[in-house]
Amino acid sequence: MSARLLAIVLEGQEAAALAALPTLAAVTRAETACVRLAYVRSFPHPRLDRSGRIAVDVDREMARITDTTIETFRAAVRRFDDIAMDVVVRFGRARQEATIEAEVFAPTSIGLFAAREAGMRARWATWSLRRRIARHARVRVVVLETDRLHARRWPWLDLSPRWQDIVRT
Amino acid sequence: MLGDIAGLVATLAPVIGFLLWREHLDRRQHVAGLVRAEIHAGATRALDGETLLAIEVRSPTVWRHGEVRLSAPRGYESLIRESALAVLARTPGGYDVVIHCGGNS
Repeated sequence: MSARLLAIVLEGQEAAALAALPTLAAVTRAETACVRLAYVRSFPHPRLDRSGRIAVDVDREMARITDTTIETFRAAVRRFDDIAMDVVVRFGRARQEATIEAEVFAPTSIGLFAAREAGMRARWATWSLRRRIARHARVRVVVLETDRLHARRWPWLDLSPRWQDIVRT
Repeated sequence: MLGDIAGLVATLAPVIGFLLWREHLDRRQHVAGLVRAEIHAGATRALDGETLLAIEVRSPTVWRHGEVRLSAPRGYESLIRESALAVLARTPGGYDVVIHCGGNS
């Protein structure tokens, strides 16, 4: 069976994932694996206009987020010619969705991302996901840890890094 | 008589427990050291000699898997990429690989 690597990006780890893509690519090359990058996030809220009416419903918002995510990661991966990365977006509870994705894709390795100086919430999310994966699947876990270079004013509040911060550099 | 034995057991139990616990910790550290040596040898071979790649191995506990942590100074992140195959191949089951990707990775 060929190696299969599932990289899971949780909400708020987008910048860390983009920053760690070269290392992920190196791991992929080393294992000659096929990669699926799964972005897992909670359901978005509908967008409201000034009078409180729904301007954009949840479905359209989900479609927009899906398109943006796939486009962003494909653009970032494009510089690695030899790697074919499948990008999928899943909405729901992070741990459940990640577990389902792991069962469906049946990977030999699972990649997780973590900002080294991230706040307690982000660290807890990554830690609990690691534990859940370790319990449910006998796969190797590769954690890609990044410096949080783009934290702005209040890093202790664990504000999610913005995608633009990474894209601009 | 029985009271004396119970007293002796109660006195010795913490000491013996502590010694057993230390023995367990030492054994875990010994295993982690073996894993580190194996991975270090593989990485050294892959990189054609000693490099600035840092390898740290944390032994598994009841609460978590063991960890093989790789890091390199800023500007030398390519070492991680070049040694990834050797490290992944030599990492035993029950250990997670934690790769620290610096700013230039």
